[in-house]
Amino acid sequence: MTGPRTSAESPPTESEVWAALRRVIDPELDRSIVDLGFVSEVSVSGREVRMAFRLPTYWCSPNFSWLMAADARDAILAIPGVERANVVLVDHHAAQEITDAVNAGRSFEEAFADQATGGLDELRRVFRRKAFIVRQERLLRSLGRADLAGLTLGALPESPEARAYLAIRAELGLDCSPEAPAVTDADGQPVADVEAHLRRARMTRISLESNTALCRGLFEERYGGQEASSGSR
Amino acid sequence: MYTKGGRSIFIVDGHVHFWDASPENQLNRYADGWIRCFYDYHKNLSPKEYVWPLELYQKYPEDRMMRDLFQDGYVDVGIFLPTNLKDFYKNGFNTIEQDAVLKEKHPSKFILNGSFDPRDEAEGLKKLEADSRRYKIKGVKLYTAEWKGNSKGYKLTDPWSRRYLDKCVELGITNIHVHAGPTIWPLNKDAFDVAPVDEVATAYRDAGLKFIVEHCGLPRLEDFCWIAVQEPNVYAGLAVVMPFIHARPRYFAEVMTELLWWVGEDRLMFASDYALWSPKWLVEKFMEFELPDDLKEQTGLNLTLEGKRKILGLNAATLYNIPVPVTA
Repeated sequence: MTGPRTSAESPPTESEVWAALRRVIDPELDRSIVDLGFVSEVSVSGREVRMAFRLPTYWCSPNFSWLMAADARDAILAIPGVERANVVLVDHHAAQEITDAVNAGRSFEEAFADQATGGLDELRRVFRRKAFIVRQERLLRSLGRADLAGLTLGALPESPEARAYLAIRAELGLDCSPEAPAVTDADGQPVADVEAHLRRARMTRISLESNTALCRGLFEERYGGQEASSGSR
Repeated sequence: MYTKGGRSIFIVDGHVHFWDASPENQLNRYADGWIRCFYDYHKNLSPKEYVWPLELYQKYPEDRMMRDLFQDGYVDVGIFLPTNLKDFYKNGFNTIEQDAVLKEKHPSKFILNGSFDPRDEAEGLKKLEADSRRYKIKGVKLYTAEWKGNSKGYKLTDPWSRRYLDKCVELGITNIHVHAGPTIWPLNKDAFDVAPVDEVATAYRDAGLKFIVEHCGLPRLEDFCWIAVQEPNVYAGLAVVMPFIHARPRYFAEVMTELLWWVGEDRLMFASDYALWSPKWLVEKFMEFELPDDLKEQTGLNLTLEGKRKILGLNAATLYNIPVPVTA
């Protein structure tokens, strides 16, 4: 995922780094790590970028923590003009292992060889599919209409919920044409029983949202009032 | 006993601890990280007037626990669920031996439970037999993310786990409390996924084992409910969900609605997770709680006084054969 780097490009700015990090999400919560307040520091020194982040608890799962660290590194290295990225996880039980391994460009299965049976692609996929279901449920709830069975993507209104849903459809490689049915499973297949589908989807949404509320509350206890810092300020 | 309008409600607190996280008992930074994490849960979800100082939270005296549960907290019987953490704390965090001290002094007030760790293999099977003989336990608490040397956890479906569950059947230990944590083997999979409960619940249903999933699978409520629908011997422990009633009441209502819809009021069990939270305010707020109108309309569900009585005590009393006074 590293972008083109030539010395002709000008060095990155802090705002470019923040914009890149905004696209990094917490996979469990389907929300930007910047919006969640996790990023505590961004600093740029020439062509080298340093970012630090912290999480709601000391015990947040190391696999999700790893994904955020690795995605942040990829996002920074993809900025034109960046030559080095230094990503630092702080206040976490596996902070040192994750920080060292991610900055060395090692894979999760290398770093945790004796504790893992493979990489994190499947874990990521499972949570993108949950996010798909949640975004779809939010969209359909916002429509507040009964006849959802024949609904197509082309008939969706212009709304934040619709945009979020279309974005994850595209991300998962699903049919995004106007004729495509709007109510599908995460494989893009139309669902037979819309009501049963929605009831399960609602449960997934409530699980994600109550988890988000808990995580945000715990984060607030740990870091309430602490602003992110940047090298230039 | 909670009394309202002339009616008495029998209260079983399905998950209580008598822990020691004092600095003297801490072995390493993980011990400090553990109790500070608990403390953040405590502070974030408790009403202000129920927040303790950290020092008390690390280690509280017996009389404080007795007062919070039985004098102020309406609790009739508390169920101890040990959490050993011997890699973090010298004498363990909350062991059956610690809990037994209170059980001996107040035999009718507590249910004592044990635990096992399949990584202890043959040695641990002997300990489980000894605990069964000595304490007559009817249940065990399993913390699958417990660290042990280089291992960061285990699965319920491991071959040695099955041998321990077989032993539970043999010893009449029928209540298997499962708590999923952030690190299990293998670390690349979702540690909170409760799918292994599905497999063992099916395998041990005819043998009579019941699986009580602590904090009803949160943060994977949806996976838990889906399993509970299919497995009649799977129950939800309401620890961690209960305090939402104060700090996040809308989410409490939504989560309760889902649990009532998918699992039903016969398989939900009240728990404070003391000393994470105190039963007094949880019981009071739960007795006052009603499902919001929009959720009632959407689902056709209601949470009646009868439902609350089951959740607050009768369901746990059935699982543990606790005598319920005729007045309750």
